[in-house]
Amino acid sequence: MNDREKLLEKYAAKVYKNRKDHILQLAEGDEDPSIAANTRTIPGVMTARGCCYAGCKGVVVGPLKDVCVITHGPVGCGFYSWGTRRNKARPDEHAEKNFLPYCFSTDMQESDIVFGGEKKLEKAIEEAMQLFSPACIMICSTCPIGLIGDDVQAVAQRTEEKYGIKAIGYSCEGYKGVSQSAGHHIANNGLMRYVIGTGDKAPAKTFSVNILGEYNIGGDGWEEERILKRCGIEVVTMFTGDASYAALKSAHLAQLNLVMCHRSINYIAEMMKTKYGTDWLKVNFVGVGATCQSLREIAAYFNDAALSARVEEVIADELSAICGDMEYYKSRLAGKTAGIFSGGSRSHHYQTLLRDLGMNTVIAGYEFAHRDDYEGRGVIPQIKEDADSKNIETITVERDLEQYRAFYSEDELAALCAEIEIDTYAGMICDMDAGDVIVDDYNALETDELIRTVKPDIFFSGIKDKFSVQKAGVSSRQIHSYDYSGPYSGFRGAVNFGRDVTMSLFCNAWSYVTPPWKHEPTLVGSYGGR
Amino acid sequence: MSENLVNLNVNPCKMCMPMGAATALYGIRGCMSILHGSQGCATYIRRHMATHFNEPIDIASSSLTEQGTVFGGEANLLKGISNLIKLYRPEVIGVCTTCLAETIGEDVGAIIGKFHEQNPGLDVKIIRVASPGYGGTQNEGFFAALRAVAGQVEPDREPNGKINIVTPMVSPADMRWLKAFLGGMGLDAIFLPDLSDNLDGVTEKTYQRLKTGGTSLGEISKMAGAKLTVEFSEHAKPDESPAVFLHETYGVPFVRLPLPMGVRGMDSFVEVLRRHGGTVSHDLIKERGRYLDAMVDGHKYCAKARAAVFGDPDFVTAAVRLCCENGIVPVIAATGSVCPTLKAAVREEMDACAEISFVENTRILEDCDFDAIEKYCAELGVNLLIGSSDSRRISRKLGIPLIRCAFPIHDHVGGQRVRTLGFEGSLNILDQAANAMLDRTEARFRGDLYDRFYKGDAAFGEEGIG
Repeated sequence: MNDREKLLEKYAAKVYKNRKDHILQLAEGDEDPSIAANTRTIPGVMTARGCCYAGCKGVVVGPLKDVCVITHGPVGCGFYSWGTRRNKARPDEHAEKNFLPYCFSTDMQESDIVFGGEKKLEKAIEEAMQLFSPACIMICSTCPIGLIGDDVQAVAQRTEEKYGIKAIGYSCEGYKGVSQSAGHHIANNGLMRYVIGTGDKAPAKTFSVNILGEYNIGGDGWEEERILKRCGIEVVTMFTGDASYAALKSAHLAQLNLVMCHRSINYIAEMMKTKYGTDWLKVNFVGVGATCQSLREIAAYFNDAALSARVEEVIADELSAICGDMEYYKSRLAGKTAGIFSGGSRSHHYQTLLRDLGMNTVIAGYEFAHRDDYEGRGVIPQIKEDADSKNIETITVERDLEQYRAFYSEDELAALCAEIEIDTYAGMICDMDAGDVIVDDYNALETDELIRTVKPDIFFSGIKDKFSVQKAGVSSRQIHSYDYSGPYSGFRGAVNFGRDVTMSLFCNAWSYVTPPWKHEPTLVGSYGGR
Repeated sequence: MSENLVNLNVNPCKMCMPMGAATALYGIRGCMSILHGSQGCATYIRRHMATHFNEPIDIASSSLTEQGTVFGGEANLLKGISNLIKLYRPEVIGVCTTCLAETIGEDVGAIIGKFHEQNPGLDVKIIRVASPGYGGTQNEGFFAALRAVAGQVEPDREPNGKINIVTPMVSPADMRWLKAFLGGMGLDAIFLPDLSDNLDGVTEKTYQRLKTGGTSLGEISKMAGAKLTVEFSEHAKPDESPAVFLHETYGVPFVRLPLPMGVRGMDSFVEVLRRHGGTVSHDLIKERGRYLDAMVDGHKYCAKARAAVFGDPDFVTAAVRLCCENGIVPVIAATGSVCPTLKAAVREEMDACAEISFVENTRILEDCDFDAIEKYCAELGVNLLIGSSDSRRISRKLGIPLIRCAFPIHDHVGGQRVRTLGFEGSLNILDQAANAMLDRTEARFRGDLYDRFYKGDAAFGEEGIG
């Protein structure tokens, strides 16, 4: 019985039938392995998934530091998404406003549910204007809002008229879609429709990029920005780590989009390509080798000899600064195995960093990914749209005749595509090996089984798994928040990661798990007179 | 005029009902809970509890989607309960509602009835808890779950001479103390709930998802035959109170006491137990003496403290009294709950304490947020925060030390071990208060003293003595 079969063995017929397509064990010579993803979670299985609101407010729009994000609904959801992701930001120079330490909620009560909450929301906005006078307000809806018929878009429009600021209403009720993914999409739509393209702050440098799907967890984005700046490349804005409404407005003036987290932001990458002609490049700054490769691909895209030379100089310099540390950590970690369940590309990204350290990833998966995150974008035409995805609006954008400026003609782009992959992503599976287990929408039971059967040396996922994994005697690191550490990306981040993994695996506490009296023989006697 | 903005809650000093309900159910043996709603509720609550307790937290969800909200969530909940049983084999299941389930008007009782019909002979007790997110805070959710458990078990009215102990949310370490304390007084008690093991586990050879600690339903059914209920809540409304329920339904006499913090909190608790057959040991008398000794040792430093105390109403009430007993002036008593009884419980005492130290203004805030607390901290010269770690932003911004002793603690480890009850727990708070004041004095004495008395004094001329 292989590991996959062991995982599925516990399930009764109905659950088995559902889960078997979400669990994959790669086999030698397996052409085009396929996995089911982005379908409804089975009730009662203890999924790791969150909701639509979490994807919209918690992930995508929450990190915007100059935006007053008001959670419209009862108090819990606002509270639970208050400062819980470690999307770090520093207030912009000259701008005093940084709303990240705040949670704003309309704190709806029973009477608001019965009689409607629009008036309360409008008054809350009035209070927010008096207190904080933000340049932009975003309203994120929780479950009851859609049901009681509050029209947050209309409130947003009235807010714009009344105060002359930008206001966006998101109908990101928790029950929409099947996971956080629906909320990412809704947030992407709002940013595309109302924010991107409304600014005119042109980048100052010759080469400029946006980093999409980088939420600056533990400062990852800053490390990436540092490296890019050294190479002479300007980062116009991140989406949305350490980002602001003010900066997002001019995102369309960057020449190239770099995509880190494919799942949460690919909609914007695609729409910006159509509307503004901006190409996107799937990059990975997690891992030393991956960072070097991404930098070289960016240089290849811009096709500029001086830039390429500069990139090589930076790579050489950065590598010489970290190689001693990395060699040491590799000497401690080589041959160890890992399981990873992270965000919407990161289970893929971290495999390259682990490889740098001589470690093998034997389990990987996602909570909320779609098939293209696993199998690559080539699979998209085969994905059948179901009722849940149809409920999430897909917006169509058209070429903006004034602002469209493609960096390359179609022929030039085709030629370049022979060299680097542009506007596409090959997915995680192609970088994994025979025997590896891939699980989509994993749950608590499967986590326990994987720990028991595959026995990885370390497990990277979130806090909901951390303590049970540790109690099962396996090291664990939170790969959504880094256990308050970071950054883990780029060159310096790789060293931090090596240090943290080494510290976790070699912590003395593990050696005391078995008490001494368990080693002592139960019978003590003498043999042969000795 | 309201103390808060009316419509915009800025930095909430409260969470929602399902959070409290799920926490309370962790104190029932063999119990797992499922939230009927979208899966984010369960995920958010698991995440927040895990961070505070540093323990695995398992709460299932019926994972309602748009279809479920339109056509009703019955099918999802039935599947959810069935899967939970098959996969994790709980003996008890708590079904808690959420905003979503309540807004679409789910009849959870009927769905559970249907489940039993479809699955006859299953040995699982299913308890329903109405916990809409808009219905109150985690405190009300906690009591709603306790009340539901007490009301939905089969009662065993046979007199058993036991004492029921009903607590609001207290830490597992405090719960362990409470259990040992009752045992030390020679009393047999039933604890509703008992979070001591399930939310503060050990490292074991094999990890078990289904927790083995907590009070069993068998024990809980005996609450109907107990000789007394002690409920540590002055603020739970009668219809939320398990003590009132047990009294009205089964005639079990009850007393409602403040949480056993500080001298008076402990004395009144000990006195009740003594009257019901408890023995006061030499050790206990010694411990009380030691506590008083420590109070006297610390009072001169504590007297400098101007504290803001915030959290669940019963914690706030007990902590305010603890402060007053040792000269810490509680200038702000605040709760995020709607709690009209808080003022009456602490007003007089706060005023008296403030008067001694020439403090003119104090505030009692109910239904308030941290924005209001921050405003009054600045206005009233607060120099000590006592409560949850959600005030860490105020602490940083205004430079005020924070004693983390209430749920949730998200920026430090050890939430599960925080001690606040009994003499030892009280002293944990008092010592931290005294030391916070000493640290402040140590760092700022010369500056404060000089600026206040000598700076610009004519005797020293313009330049002063420095």
